[in-house]
Amino acid sequence: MFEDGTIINELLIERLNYLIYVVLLLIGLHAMIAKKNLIKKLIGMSIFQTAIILFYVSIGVKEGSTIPVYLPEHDLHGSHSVPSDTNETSHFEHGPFIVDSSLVRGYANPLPHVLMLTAIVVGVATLGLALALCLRIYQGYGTIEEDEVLAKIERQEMLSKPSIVVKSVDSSKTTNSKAEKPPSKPKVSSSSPSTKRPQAIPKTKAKAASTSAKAKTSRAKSVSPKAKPAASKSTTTGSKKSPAKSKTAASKPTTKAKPKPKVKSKAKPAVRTKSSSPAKKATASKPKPRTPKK
Amino acid sequence: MKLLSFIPVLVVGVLLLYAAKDFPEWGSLDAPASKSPVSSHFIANTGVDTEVPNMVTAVLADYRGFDTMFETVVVFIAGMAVLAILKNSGRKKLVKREFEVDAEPDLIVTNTVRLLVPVIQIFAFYVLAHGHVSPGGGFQGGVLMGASFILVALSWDLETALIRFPFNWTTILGGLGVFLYAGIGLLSMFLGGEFLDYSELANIFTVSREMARYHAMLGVEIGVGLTVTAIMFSLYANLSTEGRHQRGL
Amino acid sequence: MSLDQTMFIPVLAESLQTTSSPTPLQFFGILLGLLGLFFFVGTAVGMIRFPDFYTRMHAAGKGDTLSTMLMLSGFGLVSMEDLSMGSWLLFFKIMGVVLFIFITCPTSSHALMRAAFEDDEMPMTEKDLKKPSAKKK
Repeated sequence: MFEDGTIINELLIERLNYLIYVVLLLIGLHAMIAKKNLIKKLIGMSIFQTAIILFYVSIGVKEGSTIPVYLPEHDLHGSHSVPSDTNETSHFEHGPFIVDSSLVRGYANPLPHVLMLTAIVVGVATLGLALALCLRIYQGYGTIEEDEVLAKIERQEMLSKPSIVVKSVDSSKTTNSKAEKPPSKPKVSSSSPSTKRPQAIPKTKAKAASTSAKAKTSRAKSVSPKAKPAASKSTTTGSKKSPAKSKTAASKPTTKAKPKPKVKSKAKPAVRTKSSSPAKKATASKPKPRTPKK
Repeated sequence: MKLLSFIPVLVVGVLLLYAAKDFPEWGSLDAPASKSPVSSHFIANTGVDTEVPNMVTAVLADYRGFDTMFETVVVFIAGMAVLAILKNSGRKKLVKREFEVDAEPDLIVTNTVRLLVPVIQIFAFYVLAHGHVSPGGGFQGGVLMGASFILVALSWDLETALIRFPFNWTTILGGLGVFLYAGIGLLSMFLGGEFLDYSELANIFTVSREMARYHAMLGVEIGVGLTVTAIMFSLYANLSTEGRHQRGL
Repeated sequence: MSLDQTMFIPVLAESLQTTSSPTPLQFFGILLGLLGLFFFVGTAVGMIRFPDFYTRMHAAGKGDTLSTMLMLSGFGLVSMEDLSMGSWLLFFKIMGVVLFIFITCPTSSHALMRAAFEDDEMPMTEKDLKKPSAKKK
């Protein structure tokens, strides 16, 4: 199976590094194409970058070479460390000399090092920027799932049909940021928490309701920081957008009916993960006395 | 959609694997990248040209200095863009979100960090300043330095770190780093050379032309280190607090 | 270039061919490395097998620290084939890394535990063990 010349031998043994690079690259590519979650897309991008780095290492590595820093015997400043009884004294004068071409192969190729150093730094910068954009999208739309964001944009465009597309996107943004503020607050508390609070409250005392709410949501964070706020936020944006929008659009009732069921179906799983944990906690709810920190 | 995406992925994979057999073997000395006159020239002549033992530093800061300068600019712009995107976004009021927990800084963690941060910072300076003769340089030193401040922010809170490293400084230091880099390039231009041709600085430093390049590289690396330090901390401070710089992680 | 030439593990093959019999110090170092590997396997098994967060962190924190320290100090001893200045320098550098891990690794696992405790994650009790649903977690 592993004889010379077969394709398996070539892929798995002689060029295993290239196989790994291709596989990593494909994983990254697939994540970037197929995943709906923007953060998962970013993870795919990072994997893709890693594959490229591996590729550069593969084509740049030299067998039996040392790091691209001059050894003491080639170092212009390190001539004192060379034993004086070496017969090649001409090489070790304290002064510049061009490294012999036979010695060049003893050093690793510095160029891939430099290029990959560059790539890593740019990768960090772009990753930070992309995360910031994701955060902003999440603030605006309450979700980082690509299809939900697109659906929301589409809905807003439909609402503001008379105006042109660009304007509608603009107006959606402003309404979003505007809607962030109080007027919609009561609606929020009526729609989303009503689904999740009652499950948790009976287990703890009424007084500890707030702390338990904090506790259970805090553990939701440890599970997945995005899932929970995404759910509650989407309810806020979904429910509050429609009143803000209703000034411009006449098709208010239909759109108002639309976001709600979607919201609920989305909020459910997050709620379930949360409500399952307080159930267990309630059996041994010792830590409550500790919660008044500060 | 998910199945559909496999098609381009598989096509790309087959093409890349088909091309893989033309690539050099692992560790081959005859690989085009290793045989190319460019890298051979770098290995052979770095010592003569710049007296820097670390070829990577020499290639990064001198031979490819233009590239690295815009690299630094990219990092700086990324930091500024994150600041611009997240500034004044999100909730104005400091409403405590449900999943936020009020926790005191932990005694053991803070004491360990107190022990470690000076060591990390000294090591950062060592990596930055020793980048000529051993693996290291501006980017690595800068990242270490930024990480030390992030460590403070993680173990206490962001306010404590912002006392040590006020947020305004990140913009100023980041700009200063780029300015230092471009300034050294411009200075060598005004002295009669080309942009980023450090050997012209020999007139100022009163050393040989090679040593002028050596010293100018140190200045350039310091500029890179400043920018990277500032932007790393700025990215953390912005991303962890949605641009509010209060009540972060 | 086929499998029976041990191309898969060229480094190991090379080392088997080239090294003469190890000095006692190197032998001790290899022993330490193997011991570290043993604890590392224990850590991995514990991470999978233990039921809740705290016991898992206990396995990860302790086993990881100990095994990393053992392996690194074993590596330091192996690298001291001659007692020259350079090998001493390398040994002390590795010992510096060991010290660093000795300080930071328990601290990090403590921080994780603390964060879980702040989050009101409860340790597993006998009662949880009786419930079949809690066992999954």
